[in-house]
Amino acid sequence: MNDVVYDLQSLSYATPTGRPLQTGLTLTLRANQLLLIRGSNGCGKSTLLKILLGQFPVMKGSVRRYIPPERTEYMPQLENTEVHFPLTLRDVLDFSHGRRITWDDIAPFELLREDQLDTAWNTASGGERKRTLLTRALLKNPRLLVFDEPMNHLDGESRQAMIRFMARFLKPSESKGERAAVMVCHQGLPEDEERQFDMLCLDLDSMTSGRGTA
Amino acid sequence: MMSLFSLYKWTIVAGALAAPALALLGVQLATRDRAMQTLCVGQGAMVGVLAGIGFLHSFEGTPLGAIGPLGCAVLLSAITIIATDRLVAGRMASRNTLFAFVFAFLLGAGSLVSAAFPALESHMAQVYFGDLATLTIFDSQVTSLVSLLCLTVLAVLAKSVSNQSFELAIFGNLVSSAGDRRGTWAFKIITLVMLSLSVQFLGFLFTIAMLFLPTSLMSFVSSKGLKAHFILCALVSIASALIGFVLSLNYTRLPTVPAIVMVMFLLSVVILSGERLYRFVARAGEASRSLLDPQPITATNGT
Repeated sequence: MNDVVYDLQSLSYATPTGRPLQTGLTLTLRANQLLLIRGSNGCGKSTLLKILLGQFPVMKGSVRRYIPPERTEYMPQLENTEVHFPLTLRDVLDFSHGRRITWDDIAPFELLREDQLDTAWNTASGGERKRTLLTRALLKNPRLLVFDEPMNHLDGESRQAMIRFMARFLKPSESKGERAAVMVCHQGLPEDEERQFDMLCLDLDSMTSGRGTA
Repeated sequence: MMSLFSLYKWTIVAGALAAPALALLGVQLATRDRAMQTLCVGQGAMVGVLAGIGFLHSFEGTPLGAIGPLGCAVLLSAITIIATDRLVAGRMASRNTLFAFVFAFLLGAGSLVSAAFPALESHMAQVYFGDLATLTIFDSQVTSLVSLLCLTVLAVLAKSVSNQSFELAIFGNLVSSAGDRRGTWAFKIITLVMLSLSVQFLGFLFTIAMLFLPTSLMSFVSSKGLKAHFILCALVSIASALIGFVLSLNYTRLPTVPAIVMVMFLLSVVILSGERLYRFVARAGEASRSLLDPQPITATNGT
């Protein structure tokens, strides 16, 4: 049981207003696995993420997380895409990390190009913004990544970059320690993308879970 | 003129420090989309000041009479922040409508308080429109001290506070771990104190203008980067406060705060026009260079 990241036992949960969403959910997420949560609108995907992060209470059952909150990075859906600040992508990385970020710090993630760093946040593409937010999360050296719909509005190239990165992040490695990721993805992933992960797929519409495609 | 400068040296210091402190605070509040809420909090502070002056009228000239209205302003602003936060909690839509309702309510409350204490009529105009020239040395010194403290907090916590503003703007709430939320309370407290103090001593108009005019106007400048925006906002606010104040000293019928607001607007127009002209000249230069040295255009067949 040493490599367990999340242990959910008979979990039942509801919306903040009390509307029941799911009952009797049991699963175990282990190190180097990706938990993919999918399902139709309103089935409770984002609420489950917030329960996994400890932001919402559970109705029944238990949720145990074995990676501490300070080693967890959460990337929610964007409420707004533009900000009042005239930020560059470099600013976003700088202030989230508390110091001036150099190219050497972010080059290993292979998510952004050096010439993109001076792009204004408000004029950057959706893919550039998401890659910046992912780089921002990775600079904190997390062991658990939690994403809400990270693939929304991404073009083919950005999507492939995200998948490549996730596969690298979850690749077993002694030097990096145990890692895991949780991802809400409305429509799931195509088969060729799924094959790149040791994946646990949770379909909230049918309440089934299993390895690979559910 | 020099004797006037000597007479108003503390007022000038207070204006030159309060203006950038409010402007930098305004950048963060505007990014958090809290401009309407800030109007409510400012109005709450105004009701607090008026109530403080009204109820503590008999203590005028004593330390309680001087500090009491500020204490009431801080208390009322804190209540307004908590109440408005609760009112809009969990709502993404109609926030501004609810803030407008609170603003109207507080406007009515302010009017009622001033009606209850007839001596407040002159204070009401002072608190609304402000007049730097009427600040006492003590008021100016307190304003300078608090503004300096506010500037220090904003400078030391610039990255952390900006990170929080960014998260609130794009995610709707804070998502970074508790360890990365350094300065959350320091920012809230300094916002509350600076707003209350500014409304009491410098007036509602000066406060709101300094909070939101520099960042709104400078957002049209195509400067890239947060640092450049901070510097531009601070410089424009200081220059407007100083130029506006000197103009109002020169032309006695010119009210101080409206003069400062107008100077800020004109200064921003000059900066924006200068920037547009510079970009036009740079683009024209590039175009003429490319005409003299045309690059071959290549095209490939699609698959």
